[in-house]
Amino acid sequence: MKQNLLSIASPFGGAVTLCKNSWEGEKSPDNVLSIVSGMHGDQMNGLYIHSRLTRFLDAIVAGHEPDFQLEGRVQLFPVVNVHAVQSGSRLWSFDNLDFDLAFPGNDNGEVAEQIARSLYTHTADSTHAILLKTAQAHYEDAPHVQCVDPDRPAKKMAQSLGLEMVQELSPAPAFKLSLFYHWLENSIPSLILSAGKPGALDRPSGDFLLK
Amino acid sequence: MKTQKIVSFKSPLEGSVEIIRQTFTAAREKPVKRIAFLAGLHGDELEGVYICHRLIETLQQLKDTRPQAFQGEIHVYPAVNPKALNCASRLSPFFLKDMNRQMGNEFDASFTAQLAAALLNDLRASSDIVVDFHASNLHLKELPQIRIIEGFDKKLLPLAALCNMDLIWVHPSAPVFESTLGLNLNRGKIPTLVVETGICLRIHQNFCEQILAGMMNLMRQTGVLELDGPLPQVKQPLLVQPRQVALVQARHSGLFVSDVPLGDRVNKGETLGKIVDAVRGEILETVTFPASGLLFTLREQPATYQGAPLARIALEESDPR
Repeated sequence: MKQNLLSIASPFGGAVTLCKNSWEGEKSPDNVLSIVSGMHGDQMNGLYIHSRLTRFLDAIVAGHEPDFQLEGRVQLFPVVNVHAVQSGSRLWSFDNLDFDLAFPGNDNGEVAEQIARSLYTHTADSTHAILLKTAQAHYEDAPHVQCVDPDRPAKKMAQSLGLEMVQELSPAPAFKLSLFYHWLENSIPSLILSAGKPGALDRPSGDFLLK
Repeated sequence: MKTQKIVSFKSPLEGSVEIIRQTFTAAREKPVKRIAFLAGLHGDELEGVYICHRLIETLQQLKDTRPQAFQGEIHVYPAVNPKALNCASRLSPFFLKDMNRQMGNEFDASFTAQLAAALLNDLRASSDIVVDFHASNLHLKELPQIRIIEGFDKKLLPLAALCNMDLIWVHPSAPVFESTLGLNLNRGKIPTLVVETGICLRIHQNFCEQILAGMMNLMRQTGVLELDGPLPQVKQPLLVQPRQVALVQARHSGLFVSDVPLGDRVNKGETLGKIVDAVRGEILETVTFPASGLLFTLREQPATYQGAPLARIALEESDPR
């Protein structure tokens, strides 16, 4: 099911939106996995993974994947910073604000703050959360997991992904403004999956992470 | 004037990236106080860079004619983020890092973080008082003001009151300030005044001259400069506590148009401006002031999204001294 969570009119037509795609299993609907990408406009792999995941989950629900059954709820947030993605730049040139420094956001604030608040609110009941990203500018990441001071559930979650590398991050002070920090503050087992380089679609890495 | 490079990084192509410090030494062996002025942490904020130019020019003239006036030591760092200034971009180019969000970040080995660390260490070693000049962002124009994080007001207000500002705004702390120069120095017991004025990518000479006069007064009143003659008249700034600021936000997206001058005393119910739908030729909203007071922030960027700040009003007066 596709839901439009937030829509802010643009000055000259159209709107800035935040959308969610979700699928709900019947067995344990309280188990909620949230996956977020497109926080920065130059991170293409997350969008690709979301498109593949969407097809895969649609197929499960339609009964076309007999080996899989959806038990809990999966919610995908493919694009957070719509304008930056449309312009292919890390930040939206209108305000040059880093959306991942706007959390927990503000319902009555500027565009970045409203989107941050909506995303934060709609992922707050997650039992697991994943942020998809790519390497910083001028670097390329091999597919790997990133975590901060992982607890047992986060370690278990990381192991379940089957990747060879896990990087434990040493967060800077500005980390407190990020979505990932607020997931951890809410005791949601959370991981970052990083692969590829900014501004480029790395399909093999995307396919690898999807598996 | 003594010119020093406090740090120099060789550029991969040619030349180097340097932070330059201009120093006016004291006429006495032990300086009364050491004061530092810096600008350009964000490369699109040019008001402070120009204020530093005016400071150097003024101090050099004074040094040539009245060298004994220098009882303290004065450091001016006119362009602390030269790469970003050359690109006129807020963030350091290449890695798009905000230099004023790297202070005290020991885990980041990026070029910007190293530059920030070098600046912070040099200021810690060479200053008793610091003034950090900023302009506003791409959208808002500000009256000359000093912003103080709650908790540091007792120590900073007496200094801020000397600086010829229109306003001193005491505001709550927030995570966004954690890695700023101002907070790190103030936590390290070096009183640091953060000045906000004008708007980025522009210079308002009247604001800059007002602030220059304030900085000269600050140096005289703290004993850094000893000059004959009466002290200049400086503005009595409006002291604004956190609850004394009214924020006006857009209720519609559109073009914001206003002809109210920044710095006006405004009354509740008066018109601030309007938000129009330029495509359909409609007025979406007539924006009025929600309270009476001093208009100290005004939106300059007309393209506006719902929720965007249009103005700030300082509600009440009190004497910070």
